[in-house]
Amino acid sequence: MPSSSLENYGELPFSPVTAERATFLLRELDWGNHFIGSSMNPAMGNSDVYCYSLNGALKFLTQGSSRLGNLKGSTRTGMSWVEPLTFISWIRDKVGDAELADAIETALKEASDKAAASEATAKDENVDTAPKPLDPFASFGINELAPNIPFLQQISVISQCVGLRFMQLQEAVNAEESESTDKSAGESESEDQNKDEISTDDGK
Amino acid sequence: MIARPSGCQGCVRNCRRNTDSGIGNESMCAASLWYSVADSLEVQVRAHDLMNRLGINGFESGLMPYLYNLYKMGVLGPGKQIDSQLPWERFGSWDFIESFLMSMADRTDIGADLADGSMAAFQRWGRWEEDTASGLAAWPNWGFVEHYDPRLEVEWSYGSIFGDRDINEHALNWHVHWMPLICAMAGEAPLLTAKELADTLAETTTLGDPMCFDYSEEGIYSDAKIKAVSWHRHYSRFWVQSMLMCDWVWPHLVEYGPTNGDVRGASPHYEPLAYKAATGLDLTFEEALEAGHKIFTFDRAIWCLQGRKPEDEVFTEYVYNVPTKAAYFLPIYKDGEWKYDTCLGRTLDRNKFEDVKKRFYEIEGWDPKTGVPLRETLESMDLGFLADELDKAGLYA
Repeated sequence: MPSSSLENYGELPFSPVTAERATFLLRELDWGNHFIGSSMNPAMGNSDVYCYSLNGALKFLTQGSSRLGNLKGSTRTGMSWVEPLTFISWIRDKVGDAELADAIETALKEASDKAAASEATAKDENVDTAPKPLDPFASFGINELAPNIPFLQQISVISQCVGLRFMQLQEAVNAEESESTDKSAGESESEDQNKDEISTDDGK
Repeated sequence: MIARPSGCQGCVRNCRRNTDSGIGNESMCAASLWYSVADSLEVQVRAHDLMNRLGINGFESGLMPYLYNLYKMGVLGPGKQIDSQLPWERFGSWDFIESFLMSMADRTDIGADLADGSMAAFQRWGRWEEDTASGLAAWPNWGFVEHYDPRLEVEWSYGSIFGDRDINEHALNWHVHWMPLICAMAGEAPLLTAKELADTLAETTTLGDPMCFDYSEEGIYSDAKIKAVSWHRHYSRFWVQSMLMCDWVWPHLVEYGPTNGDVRGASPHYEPLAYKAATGLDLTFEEALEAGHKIFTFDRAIWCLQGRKPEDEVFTEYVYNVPTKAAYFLPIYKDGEWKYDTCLGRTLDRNKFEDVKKRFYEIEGWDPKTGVPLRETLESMDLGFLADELDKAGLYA
């Protein structure tokens, strides 16, 4: 999971969230409400990955808690396969996070539109573009949301959205816990002070 | 945690890894991903270190997700059908995995069953039939977890089921599966077209027939495919398993970055030169394949003496009944054209596979009905004494 602060990411595509709502969205789902992705890694071949939570999905999308596929200096690379539209439906219907589902849809569409615009510019300027992928590559992983970007870029966009949302939700929960800890520490201090006062009084 | 790859001198693969802390050093391949569900990278690599120290098999990377699914289903856990007092609610943590691995080492809790192997444990728990039929437990052959898709990449699955364990030999896998998959995912054109690839492999394997590399719904049951499976068994039995040439590199069938435009790899010319350099003996590539055939047939005779029958050489049910659901690029020949296909929605046809089995036995010189190596085959390999043993065991009756 990402560990850097949300402050590095500018304006979030999500509205503020309460700790209670964040806790709900971060919950672990029951059997039957899980999402199955496919991990593709030369070291172990392909395997089904069962995601029971947003955190689980994020781990999967970034190649494990481990992120071993992205580990600097590692030779272990791997890919996470999800069918983007099915994944978005899972986020919306099972996790219950319509805002994240909408954000992924928007981000995919924007990335795709940007890619199309770049290609159009290149054509206008007679720039020699890379050869077109061969069939069935041309249609692989393409969906109505992102017709102009390859699959790995789609996964990258999805991962970033999920990662940002996860950090936002986690921070909301942490802030609540921190506030609660401060409050109880404050109360405890106050109680101790009262006890001291009582004790002092008794001493008198 | 910083890791750097390391490997044999001059190797481009560098399959090992060293970390700045030393934890997880030398952890490699499937074992390095065995506890990918860990809460952190540190926990993951510590788990691998402990697993290695305890001598626990790290190949079964599907084991932990499978067990957690049973826990989520309410089948496994405290007081459940599969009773386990391990801290499943802390799955992913160090204390969970430490207690899990120690339970296997000490044969306590569910570790008492798992220490005998996952298949034995699943059978003891009454889960084997149901879960291998649904694919929840994707263990296709000989009690080994799925490595590459047994419904599609059949050199791997046929090779395993007619051989032993999981072949774990990547000779063709890099070219037929990974090259097009990676290119497709990145939106790039494949480094070679499907036709160029099939033609190149036909030449560098010495098989001479591009149809050996057709993974279409017809192609995986063809005579050409059976020849490719046989070639793969013979090549790897000699050059990889006996001469110990690295599986990640050999056979070197395709060169993707040639300086002279020639994409043919170093095989089949390099291997005999290496053999000569090491032993001083002359050996042709064809003679090496014959030696591989001899080794494989020797193995086969032993398996038959141990009681193996054709009916043992079947896959678990999901291979025949559960369609593939993730894109799995392979070259196919369809309607007179070569192309790469995602191979979605495919299963292995049980009847066609049974027919492949008979034809594979035949091409190997084994009895097409029993799979027992024929006397004339063994004698032609100077293994007549094995035929005598098979005869004594009543296997020629």
